[in-house]
Amino acid sequence: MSLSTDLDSQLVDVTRMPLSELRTLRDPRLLEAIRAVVRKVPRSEHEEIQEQGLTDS
Amino acid sequence: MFDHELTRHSLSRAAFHEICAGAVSRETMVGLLDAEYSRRRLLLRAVADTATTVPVPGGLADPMPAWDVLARAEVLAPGVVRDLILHPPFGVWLHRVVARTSGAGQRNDVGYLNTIAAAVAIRAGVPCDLTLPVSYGVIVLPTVGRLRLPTRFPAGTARLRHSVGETVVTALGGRLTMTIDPMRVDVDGVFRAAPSHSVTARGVELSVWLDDTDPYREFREPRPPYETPPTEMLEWRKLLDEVWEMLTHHHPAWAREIAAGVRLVSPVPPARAAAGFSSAGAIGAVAAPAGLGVSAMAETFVHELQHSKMNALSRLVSLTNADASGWYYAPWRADPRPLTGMLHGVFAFVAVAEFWLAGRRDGAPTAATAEFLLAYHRRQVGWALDSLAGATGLTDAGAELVADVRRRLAACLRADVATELDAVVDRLVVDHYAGWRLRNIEPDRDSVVALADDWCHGRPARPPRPGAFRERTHASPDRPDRQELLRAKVLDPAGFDAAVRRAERSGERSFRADAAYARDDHEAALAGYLAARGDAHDTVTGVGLCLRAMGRADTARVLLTRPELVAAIAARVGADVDPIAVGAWLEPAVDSVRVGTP
Repeated sequence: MSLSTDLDSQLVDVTRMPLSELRTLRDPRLLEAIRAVVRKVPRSEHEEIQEQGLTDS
Repeated sequence: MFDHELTRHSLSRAAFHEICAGAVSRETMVGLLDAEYSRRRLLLRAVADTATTVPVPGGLADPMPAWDVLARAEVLAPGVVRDLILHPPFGVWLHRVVARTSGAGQRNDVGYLNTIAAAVAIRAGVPCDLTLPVSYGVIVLPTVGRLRLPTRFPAGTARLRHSVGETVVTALGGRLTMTIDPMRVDVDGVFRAAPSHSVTARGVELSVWLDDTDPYREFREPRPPYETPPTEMLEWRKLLDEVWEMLTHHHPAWAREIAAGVRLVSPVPPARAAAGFSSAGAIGAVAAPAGLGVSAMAETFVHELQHSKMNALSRLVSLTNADASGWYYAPWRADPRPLTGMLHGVFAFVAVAEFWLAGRRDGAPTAATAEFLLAYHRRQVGWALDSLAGATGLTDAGAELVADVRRRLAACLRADVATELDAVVDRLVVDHYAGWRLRNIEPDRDSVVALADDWCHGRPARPPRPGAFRERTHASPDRPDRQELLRAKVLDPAGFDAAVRRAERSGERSFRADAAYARDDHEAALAGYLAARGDAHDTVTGVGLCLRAMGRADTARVLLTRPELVAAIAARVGADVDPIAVGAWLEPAVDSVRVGTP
């Protein structure tokens, strides 16, 4: 891989978006970004253990 | 006003390769945490949307008061807001609330969000008026402290009003009003500042919260606060000082990474955990049982932070394809692992192998232990990579990460290890794999029936069809198992001697056989396993291990690489059938399969 290019991410950068804006913004791209991070949250402890192991990898 | 230009996070190739290659710089860690900060803010919006859409009566159901406090504080003290949103237990709470609300639309309890907002308000000097949950008579203000109400009522709510220079808590319907000073240390048992610890060695500072209070500090169900006694807290501080001395001296790169990435240590009673652990929701947190030694604690820091890095990385870059499937063999787990779990495992354990490689090189007091653990973990990673060799679900980035793990492993494998230690490691990993197959792989039923019939009629064995993974619970024996005995022989000779004496007094034949095997009395162990084959499912493995140790590797091969098949045939033919004879009979019919394949 070339070191000169970046790896693209699907994660929207809201680090500098004021919380007041973040609470109300209805931009479809933001709403999809929210749905995307919600979809990736483990739905149970079992699911998280499957991914990471939690206690012993 | 924000200009609504939505950009995405990105990761430079250089940073990606730095992550894959081992310890990372503070700059790279900050980049990973930036991504996590975005993710948590997006999840927080999801929580707020759900709470507003599915309103639930009660003072702890409306997220807007907390949100308003956070938004106002962000203007004055953005670093404080970032610190609390990145606080590891808050990530656990977010995961729990999102997981609960996205499906059934159940009540989402925003009480914990209010405690986060109250902590932000106090630290940032922003006025607030919030309803807070009271559990076990305690109000928890993350990173600020805990307030113990002078009452016995176990749960409820209290009102916290913070204004310039004054924090007032009102509870019990107004009958109790307290003014607290968050800058004050605990003198009366009412308010205790959140314990933290800082230590600097060789110019590198470790600064962590020692969290014994937060309900989500152990990453699962809310826990009651634990008031760590002063002497116990002193022991933790002393341990962290010693760990930091070791890490900065022997493992400076890992130390710098830990300084940048670990922000919370959660002491766990030994009864609830034998080793350290972490959680996908709690990036930057390490939970560890009391009583770990300095080396083990240092290893725990290195190990658990790899999981945090992997979690942060995988939210930025897809390491597996969306449709990745399949199960693999991980030598550190009793169960088959999915691809993501394998990536976590090899990434964490190659770092652990490197940790012990450095400990061994530098002539640390625990050099012999380091040599054994280097040999053990590098062998485990090798087996795991063998299992991953056929994986088809990796993205290019995932394949690159695995290739880097392989390169790092190669460096570990170049180190010389005493032959006798390597021999013990060899016995351990072969034993683990055979036991894993016995537990997790169901032989093809028709093949077992046909093979049992062949055996009974004196015919040659026919090649079996592949088996399948099965769901099976495994009950550990209430005594040291064979692998624990072997590990103790190297790491804890006194404990090993005691376990052997216990085995010799035991009426359990397989326990006595395990002890004989660990003592290298393979003849006695083999006789013991053969005598016990009607008692325990895994005596096939014990027989195979004894034969292998006695130089009869060819005879042992089927017993150790397809023990589930031998056990299934024996169970069908009759428990007293000689597994050695069945293994030898099967040998021409059974091909080698890739590690972890049914």
